[in-house]
Amino acid sequence: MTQPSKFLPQFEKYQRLALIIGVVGLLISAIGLFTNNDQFLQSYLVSYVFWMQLSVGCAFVLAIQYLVSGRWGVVIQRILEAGGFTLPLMLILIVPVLLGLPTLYEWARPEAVAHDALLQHKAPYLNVPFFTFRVLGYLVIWSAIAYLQRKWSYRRDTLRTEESHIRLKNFSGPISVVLGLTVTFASFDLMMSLDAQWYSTIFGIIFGVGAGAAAFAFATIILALVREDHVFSGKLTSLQFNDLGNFLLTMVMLWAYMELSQFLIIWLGNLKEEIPWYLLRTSGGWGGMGIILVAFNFVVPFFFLLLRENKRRYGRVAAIAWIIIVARYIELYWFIAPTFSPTLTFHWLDLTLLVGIGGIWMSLFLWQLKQKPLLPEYDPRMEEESSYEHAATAEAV
Amino acid sequence: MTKLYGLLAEFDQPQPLLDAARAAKEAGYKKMEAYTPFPVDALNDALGRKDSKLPFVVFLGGVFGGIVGFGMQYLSMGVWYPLNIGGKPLNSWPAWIPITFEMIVLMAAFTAVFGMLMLNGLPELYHPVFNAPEFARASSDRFFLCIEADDPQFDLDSTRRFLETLNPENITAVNRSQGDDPTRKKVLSDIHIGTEKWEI
Repeated sequence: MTQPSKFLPQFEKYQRLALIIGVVGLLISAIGLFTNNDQFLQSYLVSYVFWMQLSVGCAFVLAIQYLVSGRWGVVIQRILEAGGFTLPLMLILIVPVLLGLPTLYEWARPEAVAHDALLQHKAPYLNVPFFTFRVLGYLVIWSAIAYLQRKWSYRRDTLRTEESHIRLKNFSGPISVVLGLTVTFASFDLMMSLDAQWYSTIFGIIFGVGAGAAAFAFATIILALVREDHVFSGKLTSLQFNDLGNFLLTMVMLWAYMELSQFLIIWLGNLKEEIPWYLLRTSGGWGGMGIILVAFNFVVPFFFLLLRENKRRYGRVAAIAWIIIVARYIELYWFIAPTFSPTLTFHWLDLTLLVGIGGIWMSLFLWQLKQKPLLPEYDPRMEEESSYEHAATAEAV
Repeated sequence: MTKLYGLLAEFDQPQPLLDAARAAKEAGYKKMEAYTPFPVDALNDALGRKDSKLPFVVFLGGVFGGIVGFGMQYLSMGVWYPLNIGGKPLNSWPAWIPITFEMIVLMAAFTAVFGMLMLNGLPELYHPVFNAPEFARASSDRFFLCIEADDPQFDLDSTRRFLETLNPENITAVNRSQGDDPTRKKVLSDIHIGTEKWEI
């Protein structure tokens, strides 16, 4: 039953490769640390937030799939577990951001706070010790959640009892509340406070929905790559890809809904504390990036995923998942980078740091993924389906 | 011209029904329908049904709702009764989006509900399949495949033999009209199903 995955050699190969790419990427980036410290930190923040939201998105979607008990959840559960288990790495990689707070955040510069009444007013919340405590707190909580999710899922494999599954389910309810709150505050702290004058209460949800979309997209891409593993034979059909496609559709629609809500309220209100955030992001080349973002994070995936044919073919769902992930990076770049530069810029450090952190992330992910078979050894949801050919419309993939 | 509606094969599991539907499709039968107590995902395909036209119709309904929703606001606020609100442009399209979105959802939902009813041929007040007393169990624990007499390939004898090869629990003839119809008696008097002789 538990013979190792046929992708094990590939996992090991790519795990090493990803680690090498990651280390080389970070070493090259280290040159930038000394030559252009400001740019290094700015690029680091974008790349860090991108990989961090993917990790926490995986933990979030994992909790959701236990709660709703969909059959789509079983096939991506291991991928999400492994993705969430990269959170301890994120706890280490936050260090450069915390060391560079005065470079990144206006409120962390005493000379800026001295001349700004609003920043002084916000100082009890936005100050270096409390910020550090909060951000480390989120990451510790997330890492603990990912650890418990993995531990109890492994225990379920051993015990093979309904109770062990119900325990995971019961755990998922409260933690999705905890994740919802911590993700909201993490987005406020790490990204919204870049522009300390600006505030938007819906920002946390935009960030959280984007993270969920990215996690779904990531899981879909990986599932499409390992679809031929023997554990999936007879269990993985085009119906699961259809479900994942529907989820991606839901997530891009939800994202567009939240983004539009924020934009509409700020645009209609036209207040001087709020509108500069959009003025900055719709001029100097950033506006074009915003249009690309709307096109590839909403318009293209939306119309593509409306067609059932497109959702049932793993190749097409995976292709649109790639678009959503890339658009997610564009979104985070569009959120963060304009704070530091009024005109559209890219720096080679953006690329090397994205690849550097990403390589180490992927390496840890693959190491975690190969620990166990790609399907849970026990899940009550799998037994429901064996009674008869429930999914026969689905062509085998 | 027979008054027979079709032959109804009864199964006690979904899987034999699926196999039977596939075999019937394979054998070239087109006019057939399956009845189950709960949805069986694979049946549509097994019966050789084409994808429903409904999604496309719903899409058109949504597009229509979007055009109406946007046009209503644009024409009234921007053209017919232009009103300067807070110095915003007359065509303040971001502000039109929520109503446009709601109209898309409303029209798509209406099209989905009424289109579904129409494409399903509902409301239908009478269906011959209820003439078979066995059919009452279709809503509890039996799975039925009905090959209709209108099918060009339908032949009472050969279709019955074909259905027998599928090992159903039993096979019933379904009368087109209610009540004791002498034609049904004549047509079916010599049909043997299993060890039972039909006595109608």
